[in-house]
Amino acid sequence: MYYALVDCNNFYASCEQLFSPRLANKPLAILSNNDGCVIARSKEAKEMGIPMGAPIFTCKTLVDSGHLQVLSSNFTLYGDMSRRVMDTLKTFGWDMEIYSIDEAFLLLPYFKKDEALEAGREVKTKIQQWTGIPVSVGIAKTKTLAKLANAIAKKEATYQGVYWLDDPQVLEPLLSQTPVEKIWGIGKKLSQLLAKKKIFSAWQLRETPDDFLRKYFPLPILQTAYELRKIPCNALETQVVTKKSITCSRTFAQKIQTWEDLQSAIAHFTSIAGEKLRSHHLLSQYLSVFLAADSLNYSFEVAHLAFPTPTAYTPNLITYAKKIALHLYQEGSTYKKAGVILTHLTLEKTVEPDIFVSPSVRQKQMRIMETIDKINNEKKSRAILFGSQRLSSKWKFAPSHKTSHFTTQWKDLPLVR
Amino acid sequence: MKNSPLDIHPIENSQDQPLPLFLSPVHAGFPSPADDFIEESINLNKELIAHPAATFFVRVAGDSMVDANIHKNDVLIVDRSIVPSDGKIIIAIINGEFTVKQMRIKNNKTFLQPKNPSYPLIEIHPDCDFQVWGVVTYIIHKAL
Repeated sequence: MYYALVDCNNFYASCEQLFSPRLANKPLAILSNNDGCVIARSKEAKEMGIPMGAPIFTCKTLVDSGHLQVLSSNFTLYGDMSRRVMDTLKTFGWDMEIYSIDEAFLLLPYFKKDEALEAGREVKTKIQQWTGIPVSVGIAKTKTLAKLANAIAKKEATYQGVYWLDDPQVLEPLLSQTPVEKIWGIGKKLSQLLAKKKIFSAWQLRETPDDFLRKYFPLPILQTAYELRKIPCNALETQVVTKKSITCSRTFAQKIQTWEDLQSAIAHFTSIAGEKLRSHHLLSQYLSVFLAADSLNYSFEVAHLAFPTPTAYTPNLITYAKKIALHLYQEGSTYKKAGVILTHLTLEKTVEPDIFVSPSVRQKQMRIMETIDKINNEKKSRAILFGSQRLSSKWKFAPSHKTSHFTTQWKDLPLVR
Repeated sequence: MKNSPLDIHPIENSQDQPLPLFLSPVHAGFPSPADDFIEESINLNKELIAHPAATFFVRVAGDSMVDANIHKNDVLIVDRSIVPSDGKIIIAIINGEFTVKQMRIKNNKTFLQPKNPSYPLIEIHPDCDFQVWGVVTYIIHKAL
């Protein structure tokens, strides 16, 4: 039995190159929501040395001279392409966990090495054929090892995108050479903790006795050690886990100072968060708002509000959000970013009725929101907005180089001659 | 997989297909004689799209295929899962541009055949910048 990690290569860039063939095999960088920094790069852009997260002004000369293409992010397109990749993977019928927008774990049952490699190749071929997206496949006995295998599949061209990692003669030296920071689930903080106890490589972590790990580190470290020992500790999450929070936040196009501008932004973010909430059939009972002031250090202020009844009724959510934002707002301050976070989420159908609110009021609210959501979905743009959303658009950002919604808007279909 | 005796599919959580249960509420009076024969309404997505994950729509911007009944502004349903072969209408990328042409394969040579006498036959050489993007399955032409 093997785990496989299927990971799209340069996903956002690959999506763009599929519909703009002129960009294929060229340096391409995708920019963040406010065109501020690089969030994705094509293979050629990586080779050129463009780092992840590079602020756009650092690449300006390359862009102006035509050596680097940049595009604003087109998440509508990436989301749709991700769905297609995952749906194609589902046709194989194996247990599957969608891990992120461009990664999924598979459980390959009862396969030996050759069958597993064959399966990996079939997956890569089918996804490339059906969706045009290139992927890499890493195969190993646990998810953690599959992640390592995937990194090798991606990097070393000899393996043609599919790599099986279960040969002790390969695994031992590999683990010795892999720093703990590069292991899935271990970031900078945990690796610093491990370093304090003289554990620097994956091999050392694997060989450290359980008692020692239990004593000095949080449980996930022990689980990772087990995974490195080929004992699966992370079960495949095939069921969609109930969301714990829903956030909507953006950096403002222009820094704002007036209450009018701020409340418009807050209302807009709340409305979007509300849409997400309802799309998951959830209600929220706790709302947080954070504001980031334009200061030299990255600081922000946050405040929260709990409400008596779980709700997904946007007008109520906007009222609560504005209350919090007003409490945080200081005249004279300049704000560069804000966000709304909904937590204490419960499923719509499990909520008990409130004795102070008549059920007909709740039903009416739900019907109103259903109707609004339906109209907005049909129009595919926010045809219906709430009052405060329209007050100002100073904070809104118009992306400068965004491609069209090729697969989701009838008017945006790619043209062929 | 190649030699699987069973075609196993995971559970499809696809869109709901409303299935009319009864034509008339049955609290009084007599039921509709059609109740035993109800079928689903025709669903174009089901009829025209065999592989949703691999199916894309493109719009025609030129007239190189008018004699094949593909006109400017028509929308084409393109299925990437279908293997291209001689005679199929394909969407291809040639020199970085999307094009719709009929694929012809003769004596191990590949050609892109337009369906309009004003356009030349294109022969694909090994060093050509050529790639098949997908196979056209339906042509949607607006009559009104």
